[in-house]
Amino acid sequence: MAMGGPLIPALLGEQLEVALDELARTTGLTVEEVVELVEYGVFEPVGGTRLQWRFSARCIALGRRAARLRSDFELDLSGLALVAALLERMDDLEAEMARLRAQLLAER
Amino acid sequence: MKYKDYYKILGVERNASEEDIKKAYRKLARKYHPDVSKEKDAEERFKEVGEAYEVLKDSEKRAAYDQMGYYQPGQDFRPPPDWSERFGGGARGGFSGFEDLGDLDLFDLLAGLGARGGFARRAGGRDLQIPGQDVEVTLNAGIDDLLRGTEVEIPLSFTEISVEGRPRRVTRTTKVRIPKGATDGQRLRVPGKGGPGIGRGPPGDLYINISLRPHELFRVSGHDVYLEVPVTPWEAALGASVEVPTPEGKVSLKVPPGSRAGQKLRVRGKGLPRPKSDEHGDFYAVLQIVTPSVLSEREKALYRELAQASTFDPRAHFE
Repeated sequence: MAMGGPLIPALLGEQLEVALDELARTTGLTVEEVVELVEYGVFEPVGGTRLQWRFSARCIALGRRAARLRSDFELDLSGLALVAALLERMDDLEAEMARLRAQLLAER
Repeated sequence: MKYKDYYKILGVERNASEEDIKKAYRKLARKYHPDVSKEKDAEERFKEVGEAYEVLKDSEKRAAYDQMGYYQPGQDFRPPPDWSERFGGGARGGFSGFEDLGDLDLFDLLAGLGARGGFARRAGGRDLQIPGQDVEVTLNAGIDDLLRGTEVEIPLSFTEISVEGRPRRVTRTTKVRIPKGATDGQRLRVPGKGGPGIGRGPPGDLYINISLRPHELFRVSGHDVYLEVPVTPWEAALGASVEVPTPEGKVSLKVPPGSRAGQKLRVRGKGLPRPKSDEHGDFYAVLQIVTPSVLSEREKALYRELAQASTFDPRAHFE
């Protein structure tokens, strides 16, 4: 049963930022795992110390996917970092492909 | 309750070893994991495979599942009378009788078992705090929805555990406003609207993935919209003013003289709205030069005349 007015969700884009503990909470990774993934370059926070780290909201989607892959494939963190990097590159390529496809002329 | 054949789903025998089950799962996970698979129905297939593995890899859950008996997949069934005594928490005050478990999902029932000793203990433990599951759904939206924002109702089913420790299936509808500025591939988060927590655990979050339905005419990339606009050779050569549709109505487009096929003409701010601003993406008309497939005698004569008069050589660079 729906109650009350509609909820307005947050768009997960670059304009929203989260701190280390929130990223861990929303992704299901532990704080230590997030820190290690930062060391592997999977996440690139801005800010000097861990307490000041701010992650782009894109990291939430990335981190949730990483957490799923870790548990579904029983990956260790360095394997996970590699998979995450490759998947991100694939995302970029797919986005580029979609952009180019949008501009292509259809065959007639 | 509908029966699911977890062994069949993993493609293993009922007496398969733990190692065989793990191997079968890994192989299928590789094939169907929605994060890496391009297979059709990957998400659904992986959910089945994941559920099957979750149950069969855990000796207690597997034993409970095996004791339910064997039925055809999808067949309505009820576990044997002593089943709930043995696996449901029984004497410790667990649930008994399955009259009201008719629409319960088999996996939800089995997932509630395990190390903690039945649903009753899980619900009853005072300090128990298990956060609810996060839920991800995909929402198919049209261009109009993204242009104006839209309100959707998302029905979600969960297994809740009552204070008596009795699991029951509940369906809850969450009303969500998809804000202007969302686009294809956008993810949205609704905190606290995922699965219910157990004990004093907080509820999970709801994640919505926006997937844009393909449009007959428009193609979308980010917040930009592309439209293929066919023009005649003389419109391309001489320039023309043509009327074209955009998501927000028709605009008059100036095709400059000497236009090429594939040339993109931009109409600023006629794409999809960007988040949290009054700005819009751009609209692009991609020109396609179309020649009539059937020419009248008069048209043919004019083309021949043009061919003779023109010195234009598009293949000069081949020399």
